Amino acid sequence: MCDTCGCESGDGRITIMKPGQPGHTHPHEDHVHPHDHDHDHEPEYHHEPGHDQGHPHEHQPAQDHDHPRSAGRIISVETDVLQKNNLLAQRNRGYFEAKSMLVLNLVSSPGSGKTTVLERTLNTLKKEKDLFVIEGDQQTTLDASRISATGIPVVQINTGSGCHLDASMINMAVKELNPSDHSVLMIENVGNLVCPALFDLGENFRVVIVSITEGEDKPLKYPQMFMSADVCLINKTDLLPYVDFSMEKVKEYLHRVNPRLECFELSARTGEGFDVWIDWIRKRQST
Amino acid sequence: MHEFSIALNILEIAESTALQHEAPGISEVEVEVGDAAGVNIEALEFAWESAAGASPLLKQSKLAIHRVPLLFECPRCRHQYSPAELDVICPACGEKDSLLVQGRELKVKSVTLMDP
Repeated sequence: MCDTCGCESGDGRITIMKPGQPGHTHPHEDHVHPHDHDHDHEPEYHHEPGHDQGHPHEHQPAQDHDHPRSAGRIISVETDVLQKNNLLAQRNRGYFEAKSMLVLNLVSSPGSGKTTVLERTLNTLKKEKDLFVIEGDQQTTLDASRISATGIPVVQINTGSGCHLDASMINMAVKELNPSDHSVLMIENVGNLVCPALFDLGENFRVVIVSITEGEDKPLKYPQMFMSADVCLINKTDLLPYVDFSMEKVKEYLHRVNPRLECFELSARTGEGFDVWIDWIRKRQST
Repeated sequence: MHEFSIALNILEIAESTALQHEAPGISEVEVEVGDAAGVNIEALEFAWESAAGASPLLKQSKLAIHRVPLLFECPRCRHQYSPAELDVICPACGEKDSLLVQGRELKVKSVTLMDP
């Protein structure tokens, strides 16, 4: 069974590929599982941060107090359910930090214009910065082909039936991509406002994109995503004259769930408002 | 659908505990799920049935889910409140920057091992 999405069979296998080259799949069983077999029952805390993939045995990473009872023993575990992903995300983060990279995780619902925002961002910045892209989609390399047309190195992750990218996929994709020091890596997550909110990839900033055609109430309907984001791009402002949409209201809702969220209004189609967003990136990655 | 991968993560933590203690099986797994954890409890229960059903150690186990309600604290007046939905506006003083101090929990509390 696939650890990422729970799929039973091959159609959920993760594929990592570069445009124009055959991809290779990473079925769950093929993942590398470096691990020790050290059965050390003594320590209360036993962290093994070198584990990047699912392995259902060996070590218990948190407190582990035995409380013998007649009807079975209750073992206190107190372990974060997402600790495996979180540990690997921190490993990614350490790698990015050592290379002085800026890493952005772009999340949104499908159709909000993530890829168009990305294309314009890359085209605007490519003369002054080393850029790299990881594309996440359930199927197809359509987005990676669009990015590849900008001349930027890109790796596509197809998650199969998986609804989000996780830290292990980023770990694998980064090895393929081999990004340079002081570069900017932009990760386009799977279009979904729910699941990617839970999975830290090791990014520096999470950027949520919401388009004005989606209505103002997205932040209230999907609060986890907006709560976990650092920046919100309000896209498709060129359509404001044609859509019943209140900028004031959406900002009120955004700040109701996350008062620290930085918001930029822009149109990826016309480029309106892009200079502020591009400046934001420049300030965070001044090479 | 990320509840399935959540269920598998829970399963993995429970299985490793059982193996470490050389238990023949697990009768119950106790988890805490905060209201702001981004997990749908019904979906998690559904996912657990098929995930645990496929595991020899957890086939007969029960997933006991404890919901953790939201709790905000206002940084200005220290008022604590539990809204039904995420809301950073303090109902006591109107400050718009309350911190979520409880409700993001997503952890395995304990597992009950079957006797050998």
